[in-house]
Amino acid sequence: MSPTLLYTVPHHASFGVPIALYIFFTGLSAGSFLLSTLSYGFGMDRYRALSLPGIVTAFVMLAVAPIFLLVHVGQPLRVWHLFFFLNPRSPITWGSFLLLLYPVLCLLYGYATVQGDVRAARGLGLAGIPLAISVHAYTGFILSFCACRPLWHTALMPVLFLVSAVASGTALMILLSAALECTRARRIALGVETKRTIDSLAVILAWVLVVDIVLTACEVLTGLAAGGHKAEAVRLLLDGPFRLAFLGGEMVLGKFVPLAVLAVPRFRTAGAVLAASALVVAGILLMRLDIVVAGEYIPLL
Amino acid sequence: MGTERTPEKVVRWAMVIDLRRCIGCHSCSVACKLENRVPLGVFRTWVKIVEKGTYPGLRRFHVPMNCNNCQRPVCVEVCPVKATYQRPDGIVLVDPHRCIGCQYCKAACPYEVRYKDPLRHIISKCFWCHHRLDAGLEPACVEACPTGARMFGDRADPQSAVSRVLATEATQVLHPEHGTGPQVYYLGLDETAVATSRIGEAL
Repeated sequence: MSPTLLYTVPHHASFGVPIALYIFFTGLSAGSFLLSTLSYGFGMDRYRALSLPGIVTAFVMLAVAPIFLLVHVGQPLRVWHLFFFLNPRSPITWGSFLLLLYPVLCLLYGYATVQGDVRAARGLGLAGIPLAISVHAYTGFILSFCACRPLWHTALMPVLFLVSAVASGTALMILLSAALECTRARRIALGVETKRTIDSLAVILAWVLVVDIVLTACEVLTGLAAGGHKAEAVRLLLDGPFRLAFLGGEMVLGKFVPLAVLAVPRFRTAGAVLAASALVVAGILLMRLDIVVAGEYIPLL
Repeated sequence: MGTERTPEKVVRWAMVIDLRRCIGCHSCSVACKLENRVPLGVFRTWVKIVEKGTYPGLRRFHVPMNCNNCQRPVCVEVCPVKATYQRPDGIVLVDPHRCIGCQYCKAACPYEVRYKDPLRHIISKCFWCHHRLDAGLEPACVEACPTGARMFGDRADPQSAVSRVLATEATQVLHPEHGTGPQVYYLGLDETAVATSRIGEAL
């Protein structure tokens, strides 16, 4: 006869949908920023058309993201405490300064891009890369520092977050390039230039998806082998209540289907690539929700 | 019980809960609610009840829970504004004027003993009734326990009742694997009663 829980008090999840959305938007921001620097920062001129839309997206997404944090915290008027009573050991403290520096750098870099100042854009773009990486990776550290939550407590979390940030950012830039071209030309058709940009972005996206799938597989397999609470947490995603969202939504629709479209030349029509990109963005949103919500699903006591 | 304090003495508070004495009456939960004006829907202490076996070979296990006021508190480590801090006597407090309600401490606590105050929108938890301790009294839950299952005292004083129990009895703590050094010690803690955390869960 298995033991029966007769009484305990309900526990409310600490992080929920607002935190998942915050992570999703900072991811989009970091991803778009990295793509935006390819041209000025690394001299890849075929991505020149992405520089301005990339940095504008990065800035807008980062302006949106903290709104979800303000929705989440109980005392939003006290957020200035983060800068005056800071605890250097808390990843949230790292984040509060990153969230201050990164938009400033985005603005400067964007200004240099608009002015066509190649040297300033190159310097600011390269300087922004570690900031963009940190501004997203720190959200992974927030979760991975919760040692008692088996699904979050993994050294892969910041890396996984970064890879999915680049995936969602690249997919968003594909959609944005097409949308900008159509708005400019006032018809639903893509010019040769845009097609070429989208094609090379599609190659990047395909490889990032491969890395994302490999990292996710590493995490899932190691988690299952760990047994105990860790395996129990991973099984929530594989055959528990998150099965449909994780396997069906996040993995199949959000990663494998887009990867098939991007990798097989026969499927890689312009329309299919755009649809695949939309799926990737939706899949990464689902991934943020899965990780944040499933992480606190199992009560600890 | 030795809860009187003199300023020069080092004090480390600890709680011992003798589960063989606990009858699951929830007096501690009620006393705590009254003493600390804990809002509706949240608890600083509660008694988890797990049943094992089938009639007539059956037993109920009661596990009173509250903040472990850990030696190495994770909550203090992760709090971005240092609202959560540890007193020299070991009690982990939350500064209600400093806390921004980000709930990171609540997510990182392995014991899920913190709650978001539905009225003040900040984090709160059991502080071992530090206001009573500072006045020379015992925590409300300890005083209210009709069977004397809850024991409270100074670990730094080898003559205290708590120290004597810790020195001579086999004690257990919750989730020792996290290395937090919890300061609520149990006598007769059942492992399955701790592990059973979901209604209808099969172990």
